[in-house]
Parts: sequence; structure tokens; C-alpha cells
Amino acid sequence: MKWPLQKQPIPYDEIPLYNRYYLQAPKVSHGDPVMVMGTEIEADALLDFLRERNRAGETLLTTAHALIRATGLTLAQFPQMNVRLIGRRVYSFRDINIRTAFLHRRYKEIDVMIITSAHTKSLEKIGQEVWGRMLQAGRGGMGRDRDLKNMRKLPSAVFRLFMWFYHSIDRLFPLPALGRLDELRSGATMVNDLSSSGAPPMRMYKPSRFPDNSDSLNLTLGPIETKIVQRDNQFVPIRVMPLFLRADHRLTDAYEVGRFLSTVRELMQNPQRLEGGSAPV
Amino acid sequence: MADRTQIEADILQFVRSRCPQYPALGADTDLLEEGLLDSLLLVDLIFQLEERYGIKLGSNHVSPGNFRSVSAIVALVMNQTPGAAA
Repeated sequence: MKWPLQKQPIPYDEIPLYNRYYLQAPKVSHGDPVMVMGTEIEADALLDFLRERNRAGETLLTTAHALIRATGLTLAQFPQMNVRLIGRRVYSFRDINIRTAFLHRRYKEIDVMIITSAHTKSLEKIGQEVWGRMLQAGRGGMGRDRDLKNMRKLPSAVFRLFMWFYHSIDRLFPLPALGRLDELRSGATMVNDLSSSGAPPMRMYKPSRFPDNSDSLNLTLGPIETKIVQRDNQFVPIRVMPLFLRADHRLTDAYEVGRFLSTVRELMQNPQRLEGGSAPV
Repeated sequence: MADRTQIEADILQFVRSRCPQYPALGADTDLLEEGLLDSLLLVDLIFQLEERYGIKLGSNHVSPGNFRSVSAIVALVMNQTPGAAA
């Protein structure tokens, strides 16, 4: 049993007034606290870095692994963003855990894994964990996969009752993470790499929010495109990738969201800064 | 157990079927440099290899050296099956 959150909520007087407008708004106001900010990463340095690392490395690295590491390092710089709501109180997470979506090969649908302490792990370690989980899921033999299989068997009414019960208590109480299905609640940030081949060029994307309140941030990376820019009085092609951040105005504001997104962008554009962290075992 | 030629032909066929935009794909085409091997294809390929050749691959096998080209993948399969014919 793990308690993902600090024992005490963030003191109310530390919450900015403008965030309180959203936090304390009655449901009837229909206020929408969701914010989405999009930017573009100049991806040449990142792609060259990954290509170089993939020439001699032991683990095949992708842009998804880089984004997980960059997000972990950024959350370490912005601990005030590593929070969630319970009722109308804001709680900080104890650790920097990141959720990431992947295609569950066995069921041909999306599943989510969690990378714990992402800011302390090397790119290789993150890569090994991600590949390991994807292969486990494809075999379907792990406990989580058996749980998901059982979840699929639930009739609609029972599923709805289960979700209602779970979300009700999750919304009201700082619960421990008990096991395989609810371990995702121990991370506030979802990282999503939609840059796989076949994805369309992305101009706009609003990541959805999972119905529980532990899903506070979402970073989504789009596919690589070539763009012509002017450099030193010459037109040159560069590769770019769109990056979108969804946040919640009850927990943060646009100024912080901008700084957070800029930091992730800087790390992705300067990938040598992603080096370090614990190596694979 | 299939021989090297057959394994190479099987893998080439599988990768070509997933990369129709790259008709020139050969056994020594660098799948990483050409950006052909994304995570979806890689995981599908691993399970294809496991099912067809009765081997088991773990995350420690997901290295650039093992998946750089069809030839490298063939070598991985051969290494994992001691009785394989050269």
C-alpha cells in the first residue's frame, strides 16, 4: 500500500486568488478550468542525439523516452505543478511519477503504464522499462493484464457502478494506491507520444482528462514535420515537432504553464541535458 | 527450424508489409536511420518472431544493434535458437 500524496494539503492561503475562483466555483457556473498551450520543438538536435545514441547504445531510444525524461526533470524544477485535487484541496505528490500511454498489442487498444521517479532515471533505464512493459502487455501474462481482462468482462451497469464508486471516493479522500489498476493514481502527469508514423501533421490538440482528479497535466508530442526557416540570411529546412500541454487552472495559471512548457521544450531541444540519472540494472 | 535465408525472407516480407512507403527495403537497409522502425512496428515484429520461431525476447534485447536491419534481426533470431541452421 503506497500513499502517493503528502499528508497535508497545500495551505489555502498559498493558493493564488485567481486559482481560487476556479477552485471554489459552484458547478452551476459551468466554469472551465482546462488550459491548453501548444508550442513547437526544433527537433534536429533531438533526432540527431537519438540517432547517435542508437548507433552504439544498449537500449533503443525514442522521442517518447526523451519526453518522459524531460518531463520528469521539469517537474523536479516545478514541484508546484506536481499536484492534484481532492475535493477543493490541493495535494502535492510525494514522488515524480509519469504515466505514459501505449498501444496494448494484445487487445489493440490504449493502455497506460507508470514510470516512477522519472527524474532520477537515465534515458536507457526509462527505455528499458517502457519496452519491458510493452512486451509484458503483449504477452498478457502480468497481473495488471489479468485485471484489465476481468474489467472488460464487467457488464455496463456494473462497470458504471464501479467507476462511480471509485471516482467518488477518489474525489473526496487521499487514498493509498493499492495495486495494479489504481497505481496510475500515483502520478499527476500523462506523457503521450503521438509521433508514430501514420499520424497526421498536428496543428491543434486538446488532450482529454481522465475522469479521476489525479490526472492534472498532459503533455502530448506530435509527429515530425519539415519546415523552412530563415537562418543567417538563408532559407534552410529544419525538423519540428508540436508539443501540447493541458493543465488545470484550479492548480496553476497560464504564466506557470508557459514556463513549464518552455522548460520541457528547452530540454528537448538541448538533449545533452537529458543525460544522467540512474542507469539500467 | 527455418534456415537463415528463409528467416530473412520472412522478416523482409513482414517489414515490407508494414512499410509500403519504402519499396526499396532490403536486408541491409538501416531501419533506424530511415525512420522505419517505430515502437508499434517493433513490438509487433518481436511478437511475430516469438510466435514464428519459438524464441522469447525481453527488453534487454531491444537494442539498436539487434534491430538496425533485417540482417541484424536475422542474427538475433539465429542467436536465440541454438539449433538453427546457418
